[in-house]
Amino acid sequence: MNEPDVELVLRCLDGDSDACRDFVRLYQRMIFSLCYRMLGNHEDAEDAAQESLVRALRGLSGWDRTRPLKPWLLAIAANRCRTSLMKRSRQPFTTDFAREPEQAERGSDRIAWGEELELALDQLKPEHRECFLLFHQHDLNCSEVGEVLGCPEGTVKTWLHRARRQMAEFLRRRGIVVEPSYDL
Amino acid sequence: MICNDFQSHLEDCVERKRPPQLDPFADHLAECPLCHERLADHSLLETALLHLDEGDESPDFVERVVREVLAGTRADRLSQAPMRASRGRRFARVAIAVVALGLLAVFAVPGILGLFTAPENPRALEQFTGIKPDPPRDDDGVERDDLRLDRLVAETSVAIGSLWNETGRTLGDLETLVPLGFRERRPSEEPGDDAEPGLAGHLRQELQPLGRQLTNSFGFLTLGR
Repeated sequence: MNEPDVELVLRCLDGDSDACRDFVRLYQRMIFSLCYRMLGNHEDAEDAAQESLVRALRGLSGWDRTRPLKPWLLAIAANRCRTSLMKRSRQPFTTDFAREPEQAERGSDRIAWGEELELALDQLKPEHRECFLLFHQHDLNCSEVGEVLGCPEGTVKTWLHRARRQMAEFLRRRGIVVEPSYDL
Repeated sequence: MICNDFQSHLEDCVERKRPPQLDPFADHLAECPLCHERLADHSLLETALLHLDEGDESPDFVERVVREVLAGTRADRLSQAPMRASRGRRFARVAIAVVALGLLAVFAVPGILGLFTAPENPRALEQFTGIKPDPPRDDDGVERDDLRLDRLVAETSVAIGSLWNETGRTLGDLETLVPLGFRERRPSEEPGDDAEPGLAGHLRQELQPLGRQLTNSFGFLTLGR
């Protein structure tokens, strides 16, 4: 972790409200983004993100300064999301007609990429989705993802591979095709 | 062989272990549909990921978080609050479990084992259920005299006891004294007794001293006259 972040954390631990504000501004995007992708709606995501940041700030003294802060924060957010998903699974089932997928229109100009990707993510198992998002959206490496999810690196690689394959298949079935870029 | 090499290279690129270099695989990709498809999938996901957008948080998000964190907290409490909360919650769970086990041991287990049974004493049963038991009868179905007398005395004693109680005195002596006195001397069992025969006479005879005492004390009891 770089020095400014350590300094910010120390100021937060001193009860500096401005430092807490800076801390939230710095990480809110990352936390909210994971929560939104995991929970699938804005309200739940905001609640989970708020709870995650409050917990993180209250538990800052428990963070090991020799390790990066980002995976630690994402692990808190991931736990909140899992709790929220568990609560949701206990609620009565409702059909979300708005999320019924329709065949995407062919032609890259008309494709709503964001929506298609959301639908593709919805098809994944929660742990695969979490793994995929931590790796691709939050740029954690496999080892860090393993730390966040509490599983071995090998498992992360397997989940990541399955998630990528399943998502690609889904997008192809939806008629979305991209010519491979040879320069990657 | 070259398929395996390409796949391995692609996985390393996905895992950001090495920068992508497709030139050595260009010829292979042109003629291998499987590897071409793998690369197409990879390109598809990379392109899709560029379009991930989740909207924005509410404008007051930062303030809400900071307010919640700072509500009643200072720096020293920031570190201890979660620990205290979790300890308290754990203690509450243990306490609830202990109380539940205690209640189970006291009520449920003896009940299951049949230790709690209905009382056999008719009066106790009456108190327990609120149902008045039928008076004991002989073989012909006629209420037995001696038991009838006991019952009447008991009822009378309760009536006296109620009067006694209304004056603020205890019932204990009266409830036990009257029935016992009658049991000791039953009607027509003592020769030469010239007291008025029958139940009313005996009641009067036995209750007279008591009635007098009560009359002296309170001036309204007529049973002894």
